[in-house]
Amino acid sequence: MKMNLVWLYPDILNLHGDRGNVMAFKKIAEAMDIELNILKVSTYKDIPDFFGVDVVYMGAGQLRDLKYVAEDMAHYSDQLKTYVEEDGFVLCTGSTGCILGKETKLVNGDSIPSLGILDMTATELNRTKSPMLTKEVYGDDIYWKTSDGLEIAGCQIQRFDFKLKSTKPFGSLLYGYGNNCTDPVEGARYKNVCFTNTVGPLLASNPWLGVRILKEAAKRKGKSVSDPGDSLSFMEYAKEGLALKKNFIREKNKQDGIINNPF
Amino acid sequence: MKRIHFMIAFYIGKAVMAITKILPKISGTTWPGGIANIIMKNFIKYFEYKPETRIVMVTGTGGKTTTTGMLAQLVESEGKTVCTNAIGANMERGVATALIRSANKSGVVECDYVILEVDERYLPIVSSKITPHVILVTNVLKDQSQRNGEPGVIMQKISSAIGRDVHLILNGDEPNATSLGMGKPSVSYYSVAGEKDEDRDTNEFTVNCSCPVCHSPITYEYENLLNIGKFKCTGCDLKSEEDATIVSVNPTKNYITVDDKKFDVKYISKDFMYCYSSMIAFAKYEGISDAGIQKSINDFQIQSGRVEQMYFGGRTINYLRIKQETPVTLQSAINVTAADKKEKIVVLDLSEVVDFTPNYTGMYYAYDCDLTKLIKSNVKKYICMSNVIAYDQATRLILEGVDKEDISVLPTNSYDKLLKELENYDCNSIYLLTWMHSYYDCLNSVEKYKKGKGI
Repeated sequence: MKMNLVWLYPDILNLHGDRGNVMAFKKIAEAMDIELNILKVSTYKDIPDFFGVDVVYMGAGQLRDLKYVAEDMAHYSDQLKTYVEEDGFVLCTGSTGCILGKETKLVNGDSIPSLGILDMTATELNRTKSPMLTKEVYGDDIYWKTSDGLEIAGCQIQRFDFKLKSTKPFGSLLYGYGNNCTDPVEGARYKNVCFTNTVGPLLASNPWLGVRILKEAAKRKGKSVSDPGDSLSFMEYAKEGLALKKNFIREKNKQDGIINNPF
Repeated sequence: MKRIHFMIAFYIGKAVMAITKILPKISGTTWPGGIANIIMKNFIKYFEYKPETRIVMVTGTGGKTTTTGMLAQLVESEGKTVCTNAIGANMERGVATALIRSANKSGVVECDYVILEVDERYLPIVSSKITPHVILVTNVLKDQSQRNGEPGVIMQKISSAIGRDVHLILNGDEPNATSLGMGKPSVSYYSVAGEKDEDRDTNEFTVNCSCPVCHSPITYEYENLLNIGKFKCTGCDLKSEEDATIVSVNPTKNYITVDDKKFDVKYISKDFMYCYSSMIAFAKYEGISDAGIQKSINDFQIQSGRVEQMYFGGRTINYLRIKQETPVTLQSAINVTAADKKEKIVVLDLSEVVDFTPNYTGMYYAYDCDLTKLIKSNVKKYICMSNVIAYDQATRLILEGVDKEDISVLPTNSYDKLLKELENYDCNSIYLLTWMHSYYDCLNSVEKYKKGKGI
């Protein structure tokens, strides 16, 4: 079976080695007998007809570049929203999530245009109290479970506080800063739009999420695909890696203000 | 009144410096300045200089220490006196300590040059108290995400520190550094010639970076180091500066050329080429002779703990230092390893990030690096070690196309166990890519191993 993945702004939205997610998507798809065609899109002029798109990926970007990305995306926001309403898949990682939300406030009073797909607001960090190393950023591990029970461990390099309104979270937070260091929830999910603060190669460390997305995307096309099982060469590594990371997080000294639910 | 306050802080700083010589556990590179700073706010602002003293600040993500060392050696080779700060002491207290050390009894720095390595986050603070004549920016790249977030944060800090009268010496091959010169009255650029890389151009996962001016994608004709090479922006006029000091490399003959002049060199990696290039650009601006440049290159010694060799049982471990969260350093280590086409074992120990609290498992920066050349370079076995991220490193290799059979995963931080594992392979050349802390662990294990075997 053939599937099409649109990789949005690969040169700009690659702050934390986020291209690792597309590399992982490709390997996972191979193990599921899916021929995954990857289309890099750097400008609205190259955006394809969403009718043939199965998955859209947006990695984490620098805050300085997000306004440019948002303004470019505005050219095809209607098509993207139709794709979303028709249950198209979008995976978005890191600060870039603010573009999918409703409002983004920056410290300098400026704002970033938002598409309003997620009922969520973003406020640039300017914290003066724990847990912060600098007022602009928070960095640590994150461990959470999706609402349908997948365990996800990774890292977050946080530049925003996200606040959900009517949109549901992507999962429940077990360790880390999550959306805003106060609510024990992580990310956002509307239909098949999945936003998480877990940056970098999320799917390399947690391939089960990639498997789930590709299976559901195949179902949307009326097709069925099987689990990759042992043919996915790094599945075993991911399971072993998750166990090591959980142990590392469990033994970590509790940081003031960080959500650290016993698990 | 201010002068009396300053002199009290200065002499207490001098006294602390004397104490650190007796008590080696107290850092003599930061404590004297640190204490003086506590006694007097803005302490470094009140030093005096002789009128002809030139003040130079070197900042950026990578290459600060080497470049600062080269510049200091350069001006010394011309018979000038220099005040410079010690390795790693590049924040305000390290700068203060260097000035305390060099100043005379009246708190006057009588050196011909003050050449300071300054942490990029601290440049606005230091330059607001000491006005530099020259600021040299090596590059502004991804680094210490947990502290910096993104290069854009550092760009704002460096931009805010650039005064009207300062001369800038900028890396003309790195988009962020190059953009700092736009609209500035006095700028020199430096760069390094390179070659196109077909592997990079045909890899569907190759990505570039964003333009710091218009935010469009940058494209590279060639990359010498990660995100450093001949570039142009797809959306505006930003591009590699052609009017630059351009170093061309002749690695087989160990010399470089600049404007048809030849300089013999000992170290030929691309990192060093950029340091040489920046030093030559600085020498041109300061009117320093070619003989001075050559003498500085001859005298320069690489800092220990960056590239080392360890020997045990007929095997050689080539250690290449990386800085965690700084992909350009890992890419450089990968490039050096890949340049050796002999059969070898590659050991990856990126480890959990131990920089600030909380330590964390981030190794995403390995995904910024291109491993294509490494996997074509005759690697017999990859060993991924770490008690936290060993398996994540192995996954990184698999996603680049390495066979699982060619990877051994050691979920441990023990170098004793690594040496035991290495006994299983009939290969004498080992490359170890890790951070400095693990290098010392490895060194201890090698000594223990040799003692145990009676070697």
